[in-house]
Amino acid sequence: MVISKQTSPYDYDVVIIGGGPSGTTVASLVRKYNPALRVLILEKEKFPRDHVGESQLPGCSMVLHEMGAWDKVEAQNFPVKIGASYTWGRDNDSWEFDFFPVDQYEDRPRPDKYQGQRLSTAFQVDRAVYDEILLRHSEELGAEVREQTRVNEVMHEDGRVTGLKLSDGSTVTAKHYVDASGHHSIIRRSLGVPVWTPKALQNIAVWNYYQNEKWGEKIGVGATRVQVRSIPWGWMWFIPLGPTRTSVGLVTPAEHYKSTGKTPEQLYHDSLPVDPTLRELMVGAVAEGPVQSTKDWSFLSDYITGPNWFLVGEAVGFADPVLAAGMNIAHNSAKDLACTILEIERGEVEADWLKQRYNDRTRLNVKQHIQFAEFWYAANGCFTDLREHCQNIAKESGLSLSPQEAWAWLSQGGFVTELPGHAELGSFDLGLTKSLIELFGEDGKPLDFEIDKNNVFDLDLEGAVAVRQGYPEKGRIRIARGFQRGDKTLLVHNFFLLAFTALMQSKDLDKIMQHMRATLSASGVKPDQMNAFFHQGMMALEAMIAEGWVKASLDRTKPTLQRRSTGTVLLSSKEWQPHADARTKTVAGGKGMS
Amino acid sequence: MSQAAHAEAIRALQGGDFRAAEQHCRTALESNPDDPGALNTLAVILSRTGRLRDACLVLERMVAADGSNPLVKFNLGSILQRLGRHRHAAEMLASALETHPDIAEAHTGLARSLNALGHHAEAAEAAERALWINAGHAPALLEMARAERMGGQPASARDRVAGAVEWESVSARDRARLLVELGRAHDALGAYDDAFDSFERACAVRAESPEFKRLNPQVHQMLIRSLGDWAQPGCAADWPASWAKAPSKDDPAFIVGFLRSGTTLLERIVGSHPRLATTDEALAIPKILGEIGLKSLTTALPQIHRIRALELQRVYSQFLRQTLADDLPDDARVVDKLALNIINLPIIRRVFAGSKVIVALRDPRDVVMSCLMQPWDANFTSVRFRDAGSIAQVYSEVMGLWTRYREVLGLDYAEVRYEQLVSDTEGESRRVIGFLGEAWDDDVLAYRTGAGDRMATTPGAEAVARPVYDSSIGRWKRYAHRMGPAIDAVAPFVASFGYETA
Repeated sequence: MVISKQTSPYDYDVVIIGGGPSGTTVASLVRKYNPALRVLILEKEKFPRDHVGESQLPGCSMVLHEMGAWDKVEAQNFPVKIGASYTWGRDNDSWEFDFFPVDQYEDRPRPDKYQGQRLSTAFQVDRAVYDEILLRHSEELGAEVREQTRVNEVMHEDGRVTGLKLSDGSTVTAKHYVDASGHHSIIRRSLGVPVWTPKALQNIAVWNYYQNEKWGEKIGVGATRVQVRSIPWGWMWFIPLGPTRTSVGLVTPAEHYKSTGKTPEQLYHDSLPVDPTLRELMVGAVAEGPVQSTKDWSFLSDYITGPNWFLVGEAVGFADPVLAAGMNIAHNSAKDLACTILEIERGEVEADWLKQRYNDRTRLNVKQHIQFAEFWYAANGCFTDLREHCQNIAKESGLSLSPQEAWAWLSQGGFVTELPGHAELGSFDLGLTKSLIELFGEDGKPLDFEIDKNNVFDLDLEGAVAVRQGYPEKGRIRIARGFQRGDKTLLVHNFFLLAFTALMQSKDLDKIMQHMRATLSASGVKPDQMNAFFHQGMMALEAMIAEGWVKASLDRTKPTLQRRSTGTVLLSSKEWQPHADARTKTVAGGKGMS
Repeated sequence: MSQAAHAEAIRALQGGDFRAAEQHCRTALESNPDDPGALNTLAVILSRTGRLRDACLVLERMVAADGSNPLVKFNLGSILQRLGRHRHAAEMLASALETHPDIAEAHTGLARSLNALGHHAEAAEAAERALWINAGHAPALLEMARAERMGGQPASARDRVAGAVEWESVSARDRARLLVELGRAHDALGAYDDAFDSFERACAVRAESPEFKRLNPQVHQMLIRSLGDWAQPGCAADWPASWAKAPSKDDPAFIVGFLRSGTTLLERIVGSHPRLATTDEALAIPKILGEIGLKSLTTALPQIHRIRALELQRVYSQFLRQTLADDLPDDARVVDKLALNIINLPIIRRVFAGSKVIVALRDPRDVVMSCLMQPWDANFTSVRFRDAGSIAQVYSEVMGLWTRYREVLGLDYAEVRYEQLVSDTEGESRRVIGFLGEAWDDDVLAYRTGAGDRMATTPGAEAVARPVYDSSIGRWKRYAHRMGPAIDAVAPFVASFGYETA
């Protein structure tokens, strides 16, 4: 449904309070998919302006690409993030998690394209630059932007927003109001939406930005990892933002801060030399300005939608910087909201159901991150317990994962990017996650895959009832239909549809594989993409077995899969190269070759 | 016109009429010489009719003209592989897979070449990719198991193949190959009884394959019998020692022996000499046999006189030039290696009077065991291999002929023992080169560097590509308790060839 200005009783279709990443993501995607909708962004500051929260996850890149802004961000030459390096807890063990195997990362000329290895990377961004790129991008897509325009009053009646009084004295009305104003969330406060504050996360963060010429040699703008270093009274972050610029921060319990009687600045400077790695990195570094601080950031709104308003990004809630998930949640929940608004405008699906879906899903994402952060601090390095806790969180998301799998899933972002139809866990699919765990696993033993151990797969839908679930895709909330039995849901969509259809044709592994490939081929999948798609189909089958939708058994007279590892080798597009020295880089997963 | 002729060619090809298929194909190419479809079909016809080098040239020209068709690259890779040019084959297959990584057969081919080149870790990965495309692709599983066994993981290879030999979907030919691989894995693990059972089961399964059933095992037996009957004292007494006024250094020489007796190693060593060119199993003598007629062979032999002999020599040379093309330099002397030409020595002696013959010998018990361990393709000899005992029987018949021939044919021959060649490679090589009348050249000892790039099409090639090893000497002792009748059958040759009888 297209609304023309002449017939609409509102000044705008969508008014967004806040010009940060979540606000500009909503604006860009709404305009991209429906240029007829009139979108206004109200931003109290004049951009560019500094902002904390620099580190991203690969899930952000996906959204940036969809917005059409990835190339603009890439053009800024921000450091590419391929993972994170953690030390934590009693033993100060070092744990490293890579989105992309570091030994395979090719230092390609930049600006690069959003393809190949870059699909698995994230950025570390200077928010002053980054936020302005996105704000201008929204403008280019046709959103109206008013900077230095504060919302002085949210007018409302019976939970419905009736207009916004602005600092310039004007009032604007809209069909949909989006609160992307961050932690302080103006609509939430005006309407008195209660929030839940986790007791375990009463922390204070103190940070500053530094310049250091020598980082140009060590860090550069190629593949970098964020450093998270544990210290006795909290932890430090070290996030490269450019060849010679970093953000360095301290997070410490508010109680500790009070007990020392020190100023945040004193505490910060006492903390800088504690970790030997950071101490070495900081030699010769020059602070750009005074330290900045914030506290009490963990909360979750009890509800995030109303009759004509939505909260998005940090206005919904925030867990903790330790996971670097804030930007990921912001971009992805904003994408979800844009699709929700666009779908409401189409009028084909009940608006209440769409709002409830957005409310439930987005709140769950934040809540799970809060739980994870809570335990992270409480466990303080008791790694096994931490992983078991992750398993419980994953279970809440309807995923049956081993503790190790759940840990990898959460550590890489979890929750926010999984789509129905993809056997995908956060930024990683099931196979990659398992291979990651194998690489970092304590005993080095390969993990079991049911598809490796069995070759007869019997679909089992007994006692299941039909259900539907929505997911955001290309400006729509698509409806995936499927089955529910107990606490398990099977959405017959995308790669699960691929596996489901093949299972309807045959129970035998080799026939199922043939059906999947034939279906993909008939769908126009190019040969060079076939294995990646097929891999997803097989992972969907694995997930269906794990969730009890498929009964797996072994018939010794039939072929079984002969994978030697669960690693990423099968996804590698590289083949044997004739030159001996080039061969050392052909295996994904960090394993060398003879 | 071109399309119609090409369609005819395909029909003829499908009907098995290669001659007509080739004619139609060439007609199609007359009007459109660059028609990729017709060129590819021609290459297929050439390869099916044994003209691998010609097929290779056609496909190489196609790839050079347009490198975007992965199937042409795949075909070329397969032919290069059959020619033993594994490095080039691997490059071509890898190139095809760059754009079309969903061809299981190409991954398998790549794995095969990588295994031949000794890159077992990479071979296993290529095979893994093939199996990810087609879980039931037995040749890929075979290459993965070979990669594991040769890469030092025989237990893993054993477990993998032990499961696959029970798959219902596997053809008899592939099942036999898998059983051989299973036996080799057991052998590597020291489980000799299990290994022996696997090898014999492979023989039994192979015998039931359509390829083996098509061949009549009696043909070979009857030929040997008739040659044996003919080869009596005095049968060649009046044959001239040479058809020329004097024996020429440029006459071909021949390497013969029973299967698995070290002829491939000998060929490689001899072929590394700059003056000598080997023929890689080219069927040149069988070509002459075809000219003479197999049935009347023994009666035809005495009737071959100078003119006929020179004519047959021309047929022989022409055939070699056609089939070996660039691999046969003008200034090199031909050393024709085809192991089982050992039964054809009367023809060689009659047509190439005065030619030198090198006979490869190996402990007959090791020969029997080694033959039992091979994944044979169907031929008139292998079709008689039903178990260790039958292999020993064939050995006795063939080598019985040899012991007769060396008495009655008046051959200029040298016997070379595999064991001696392995333990004193340089000394024995010098003796062989000297016997052929050539001066020693140090290139001969670099014979292994040629492996992988050319001429490695027989079962022995894989072993030759590795450093000379002696692990295969005396292997029979581990199986002696299972080889009873076979050992008895070859016992006379053990003594006759001077091997320890205990």
